[in-house]
Amino acid sequence: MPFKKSEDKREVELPTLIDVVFLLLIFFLVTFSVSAPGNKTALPENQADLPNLPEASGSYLINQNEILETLLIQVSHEDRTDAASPKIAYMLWPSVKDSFTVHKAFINAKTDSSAFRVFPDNFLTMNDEEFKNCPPCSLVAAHIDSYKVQYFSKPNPSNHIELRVEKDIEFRIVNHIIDLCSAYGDTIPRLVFRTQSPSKEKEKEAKSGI
Amino acid sequence: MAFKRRDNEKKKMQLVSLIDMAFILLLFFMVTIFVANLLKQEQKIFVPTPKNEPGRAQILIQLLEDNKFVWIDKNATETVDRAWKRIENEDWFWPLSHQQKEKRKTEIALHALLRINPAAQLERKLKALVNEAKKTGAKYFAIIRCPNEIPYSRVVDIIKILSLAETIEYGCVGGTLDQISNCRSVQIVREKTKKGEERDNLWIDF
Repeated sequence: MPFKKSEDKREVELPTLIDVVFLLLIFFLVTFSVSAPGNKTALPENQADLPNLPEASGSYLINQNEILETLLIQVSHEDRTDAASPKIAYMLWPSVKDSFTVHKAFINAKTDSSAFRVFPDNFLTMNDEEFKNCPPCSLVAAHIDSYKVQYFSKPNPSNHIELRVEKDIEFRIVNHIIDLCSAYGDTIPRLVFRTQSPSKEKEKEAKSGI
Repeated sequence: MAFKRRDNEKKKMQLVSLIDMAFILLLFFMVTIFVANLLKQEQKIFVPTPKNEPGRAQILIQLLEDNKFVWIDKNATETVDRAWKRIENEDWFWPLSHQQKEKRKTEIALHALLRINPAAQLERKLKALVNEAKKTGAKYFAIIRCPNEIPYSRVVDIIKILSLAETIEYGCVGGTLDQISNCRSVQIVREKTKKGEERDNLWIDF
């Protein structure tokens, strides 16, 4: 059976063209969801730049590129590779105009001397009054109050403040922040702890036990 | 059937297929990078801020040094009641003054309640609670008390398990075992539930 001889003149093949168009469409869809709008900041260059957060599965997955929407209090070591280095409280403010990512807000806080304070070495042995009045705790209290005045005008279940605390940081610091927020009652009814996604093996282990 | 032999003309690179391939490769790498990055992403746990009022919890988890813990749950009332009934049958108890009796009862209650559990049991107890909450749909409120010097990740580890059951609410506060041990009094109080049923509840006043 003789096959029809193909013509020399090539035309654009419609199915392949559609194929390519759909691939382009998928490509742009994927790239659009990976980078959030307004994000012009680079990711941290290496893992050492990321805080060493405790692992926990949560229902809300977020990433470094996420636009910061509320006040985030970060407590981390000055040198994240050295657990003995001083602990610092950073106040990360969102920006309505520039849509800061968490990383960008952290860089801003690091360069603004009024947005961070170092915890004294003896903060665990201080009595409650001394601890409450130490520079980082005063800073945290002032920022929560200032944020509340600006953004939380009335009680609302969605009002919240975020905490990003490295896993080996002592509970006293976290407890103080919880206490500060609880003093505002229903105006700040909840806190959000930022944690790290658990590794797949650990997640499997946890699920197998339930 | 003999196929016609194709011409031996020089094959040209097909541009459309090449673009097709390039985009498939690009997509493959983008998706793999995206999935790999998921593991490095952060997650959120919502924790209610405790109200400034006496805490009412069905489960109290007091964290201690060396990953040990004390677990007080709904069986506590029964445990204390049993311990008190035992001493009320003792001859030495009745001659005591009212104040001495109350003091002794508090000591006995605390002795019965504050059993220090080894670290290995915490996960098992939490998972059992989660399983029960999932199976029965019963609502629980758990309070995690953590001393100042303990890393905050231990609280997160507990919340991580408790959050697996939707009916379990939780909160965390600072506090030590000594504060409970030195409490003013332990009482069993009969209270009415929202449904109007009467129930004995344990009150630790510290």
